[in-house]
Amino acid sequence: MKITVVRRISQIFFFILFVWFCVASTFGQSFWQLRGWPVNWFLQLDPLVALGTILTTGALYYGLLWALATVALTVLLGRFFCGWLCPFGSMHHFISYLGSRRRSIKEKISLNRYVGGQKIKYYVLLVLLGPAVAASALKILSTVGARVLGPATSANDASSLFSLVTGFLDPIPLVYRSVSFLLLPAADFFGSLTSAAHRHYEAAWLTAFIFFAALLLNLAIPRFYCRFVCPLGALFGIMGRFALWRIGKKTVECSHCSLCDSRCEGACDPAGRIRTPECVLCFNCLYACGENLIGYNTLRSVSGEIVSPDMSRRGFITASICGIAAIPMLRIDGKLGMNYNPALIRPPGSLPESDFLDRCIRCGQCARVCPTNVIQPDITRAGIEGLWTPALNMRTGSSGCQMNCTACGHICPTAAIRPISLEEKLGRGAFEQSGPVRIGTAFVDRGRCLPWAMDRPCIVCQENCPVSPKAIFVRESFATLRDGNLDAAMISGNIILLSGPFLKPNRFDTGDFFAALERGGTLTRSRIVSNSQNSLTLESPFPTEPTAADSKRIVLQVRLQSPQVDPERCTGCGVCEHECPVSGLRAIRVTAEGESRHRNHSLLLKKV
Amino acid sequence: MKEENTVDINRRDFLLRCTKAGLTLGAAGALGYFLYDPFGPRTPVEKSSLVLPDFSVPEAGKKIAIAAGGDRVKTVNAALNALGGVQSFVKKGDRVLIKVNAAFASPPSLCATTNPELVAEVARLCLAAGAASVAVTDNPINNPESCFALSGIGDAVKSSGADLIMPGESLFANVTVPGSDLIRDWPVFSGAFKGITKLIGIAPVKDHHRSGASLSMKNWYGFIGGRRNIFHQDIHTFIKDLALMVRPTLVILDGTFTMVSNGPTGGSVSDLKRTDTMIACTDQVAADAAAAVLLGKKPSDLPFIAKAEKAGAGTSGFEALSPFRISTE
Amino acid sequence: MRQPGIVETGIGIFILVLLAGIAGWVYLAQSRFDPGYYSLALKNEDAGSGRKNFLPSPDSSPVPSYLPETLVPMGTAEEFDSQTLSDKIDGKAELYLSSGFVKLSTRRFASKTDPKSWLELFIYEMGDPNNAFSVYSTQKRKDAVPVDFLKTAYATEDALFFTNGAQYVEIVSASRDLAGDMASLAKSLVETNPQNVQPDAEASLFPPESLDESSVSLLMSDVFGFSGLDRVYTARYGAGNDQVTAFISRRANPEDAAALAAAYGRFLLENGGTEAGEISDAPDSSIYKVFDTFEVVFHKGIYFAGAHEADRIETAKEVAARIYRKLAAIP
Repeated sequence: MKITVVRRISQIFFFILFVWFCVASTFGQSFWQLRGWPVNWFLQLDPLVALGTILTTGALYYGLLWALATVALTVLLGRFFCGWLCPFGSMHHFISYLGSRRRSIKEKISLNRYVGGQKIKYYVLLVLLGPAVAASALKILSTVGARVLGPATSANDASSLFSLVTGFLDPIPLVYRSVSFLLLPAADFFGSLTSAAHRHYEAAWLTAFIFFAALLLNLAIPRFYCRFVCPLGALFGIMGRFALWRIGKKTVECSHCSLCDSRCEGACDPAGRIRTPECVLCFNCLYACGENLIGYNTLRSVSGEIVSPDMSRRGFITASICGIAAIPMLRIDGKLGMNYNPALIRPPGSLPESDFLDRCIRCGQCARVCPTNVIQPDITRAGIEGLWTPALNMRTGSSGCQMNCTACGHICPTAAIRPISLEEKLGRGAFEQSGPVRIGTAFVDRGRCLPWAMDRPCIVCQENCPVSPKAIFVRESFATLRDGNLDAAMISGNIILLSGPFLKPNRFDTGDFFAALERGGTLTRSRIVSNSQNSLTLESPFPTEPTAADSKRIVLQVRLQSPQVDPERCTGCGVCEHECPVSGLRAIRVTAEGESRHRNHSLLLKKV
Repeated sequence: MKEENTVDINRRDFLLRCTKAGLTLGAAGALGYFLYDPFGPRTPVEKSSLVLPDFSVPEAGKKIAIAAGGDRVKTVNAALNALGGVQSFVKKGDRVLIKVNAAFASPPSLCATTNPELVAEVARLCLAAGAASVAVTDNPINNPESCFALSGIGDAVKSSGADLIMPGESLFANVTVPGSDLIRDWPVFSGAFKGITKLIGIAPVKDHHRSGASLSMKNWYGFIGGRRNIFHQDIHTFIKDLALMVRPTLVILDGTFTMVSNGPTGGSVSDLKRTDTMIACTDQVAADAAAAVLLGKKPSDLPFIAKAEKAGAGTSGFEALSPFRISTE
Repeated sequence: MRQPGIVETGIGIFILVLLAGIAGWVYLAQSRFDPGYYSLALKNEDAGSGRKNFLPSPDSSPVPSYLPETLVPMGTAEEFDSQTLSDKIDGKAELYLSSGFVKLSTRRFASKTDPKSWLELFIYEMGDPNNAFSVYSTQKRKDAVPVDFLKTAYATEDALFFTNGAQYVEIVSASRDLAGDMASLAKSLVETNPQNVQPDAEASLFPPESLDESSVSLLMSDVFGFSGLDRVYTARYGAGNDQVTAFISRRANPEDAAALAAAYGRFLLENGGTEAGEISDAPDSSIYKVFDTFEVVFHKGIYFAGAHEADRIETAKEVAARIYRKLAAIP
């Protein structure tokens, strides 16, 4: 059995497994839903995620231990991951294959020649990993400095200058979010395959642009992303330098026909001095060579190897400095301090912002699993550093952040969103003192709210508030209607006859309307049961009927219950905002004040 | 021969690679093992409690002196001498911290901040008593540079030979004061206390819209960082917590001109009343109780006094301390 | 042209087996999650982090001991006191609050075989069995079907209602096919929580002849519109046009019973009633004609009793007389 056949089977296997995991990242217990499926496995296998988080947090979180397996196999075998496992790579491989079908051998050979541009991915790796390395270095320095020079600055300062940005171009998070935010929702257009309701994700245009650009560029140059952009491939290339087995020529007698190049996936120049960091172990060259000169040997290739990435020192330094300087530059805008964006509401259990940005790899799993589709990949709220990080948009989805759900924290592969227990989220049991986890507070916009601004009864927000006792309470008031001052012709029992057809029939039979009589400075009201054009029927007669001499002026009033938010109870779940009938700019909106993860955003004093 | 060499070289190369690969794997494995964290970040827990040292000098006794007169230099000297002189509090080699009120960038004439002459005099007295250094500090509400400059305190510090400690983010640490209700895991200006052995608070006597009065206990508000306005929601409990957090050597209340209306910022000399009094005391609760009369109030009108006394920060019955009443006129 | 050798083939097969192994592991992993899906079992709960499975754990209540095998919990248990009762049952709260309501516990359960079928269990703690019986009897639905495995119980198409000592229990299901599950839940609940306290035996004082047994109710307050009447057992006799509601109420002592009879009589007179005679058997009894129905009011010993809103005076007299004789027979 040819090893290339096995490789293709492996690529297909892992691709299907990956797509299945994306589909199964749905909240629920059916077979095709979350259950115990290890849906984050590909993210956990990704050593760039593990390395990045080790650098920014100083710890290797739980499931990321799988990365050791990948590292071990890469150190022993080379870039097997790229050629055999990576689902994004498989996509590129396939599209490249489609693009190359009409090409002549000569064209294929020339497209698979090594190009200098392939060193760009190493620079990408440096730029993306630079901030993490700097964070780590600073942390070590300040710990050492504190020991040597005495307690001076707090170590907090270090982490707030840098963050984890590998998620932008790391292919595994990229492909997870592209499939979750583009392909699966698109598939749902043809019948609800993965969820009952259509799911929506913001920043779709940006995600789509990058994803499809990467795929389409394969038509120009095969495996474009893998060769030129992929920082994970670059990392594997560096890791694989001591591989025990490597692709290479077994003898010197080579006719230089370049047939091996015609099928080479990594553009690593197997006929010449093979560039080992570029080789993705596709094994095509073994079978493309007409003379069986190439093998996977413990011996290095007889025509030589180039083991180091093709970076110049200047390039190395420039890329490193760019990476290290970029994040602190971005932080000058103060968005992590007093200038924080109140529209940024992170999922419950999220760490404080600078710690959050140290861990979030922008894989999109939290947005994918959120049962109410309220977590969105952010594009407008957290700046460029926060692209694709999760932010809640209460208007999307089905109902704000569900009270009894902690799905996002449990699926986050790096614990940027902590896996909190339900007790902690609700502030029960052991967490009674600290109270519930708040993600923000709702604020009533009295200029837009129907009862406050428009004399229209409505208490949808209060009705839907899920906490008990409710965080929204109402204040009752009565407002006189526009055109509500009428003169009655006759008031008898519970019927009021007007002097003309002033009213719209049955306008006042909802039970919210009252007719009032003023007597000696006090207003007595009676509820209106129904009305015709010129009469009103009351629920009960006025306590003291007016005499003939009394004025027959009646006042039509509407009973309003105007909502108010109790900040001690509000958890910021956003159901109120979602249900508010003022559907554009909602009349009650949640903003980040009061979120538990930042004490200094608190609205209230906390008493112990 | 050549072939054998090649084989040897290849074998050596292979073994070398094996070793390097093995070492890399070992390093990766070790990194993974030592840094492995199965639980992730935990619920934020409150940091350990900070206890600021007790700067009081028990041997000097519990005393209160109330000096009358219009010249601050004279009255403060009289009051301090009545307590036994600065030297009974500040010994040779002490590092003294003077906590002033520099909350606003107002001129000294408005008496919203501690009077610069008074600061200079007390600093001078401490240095004369043998202090190794005298530092002056506050975390102002307005911008620190302009506050210290416009209130005249900056110049006073320089001219008296003391040092000015400006608030900076690195000097604040999250602190929980044991026994307090509100100062829990909150940024406090603890860096100012590094190496300090004596603490003197100097505050003007002011009316305050929220708390009724701003006196010596409320002066410690200037050690609090973060978005501290929030504590105005429960100001009396918070002042009590401040009194628990800080145990000074001495407090000096400057009642030469008392701000009797529109405190704490005042804004016009018509808010001031000339009361020609200087109070120096070892007990901050007693000092505040004694100063209440300058505002036309009784100690019972100021709830924070009772709360602080109940919490054990001092005694409000200042008459029982046999106050020294001196006149400098 | 290269031919795949035995080593290459061997390695290829090894890798394929490995892939199969991965597939197997993944398949096994998917079933390893807490079976109820909703019960929480997190380590280090006090540290606020936890991990047992990838699943979110939206629930932290333990599985109740009375839960039959066929049901699994669906959500947390919720509790409501007199302040928060209206959050759960809105306007109905009035009825319970005026009948001695203490606490309400609710929880939803789903069928193990079909998670889409679920039911909700409401347990109202009413303080004492009479209160429980009162809210049970006054809310009896029209299409009530008696239930044989429980004493005070009835079923409707999709619900089961019963009392268990001082508890009033409702089981309401979301679908029609859970009758068996509801029954086993009810039985199990009563078995694990047997209440020896029974409501007072006034109900048995109604003479059985032509009595509609399922109509026995306990009204707690403002009975028949009169604020002085509370804790009154009522039952219907007869059928069709010849119906009468009989009532019996135990008072603290004979004087109270007499006073109440007099007070109720006055109330009837004030509200448009006229005297219409008395019952021969019962001394100090009165019959009142109120608009177009008849009311009989009497007392015997510590009991205050009578007939209410009878269409025909003869029926009223007859039933009232029977009750009187029964009450008189009590030692």
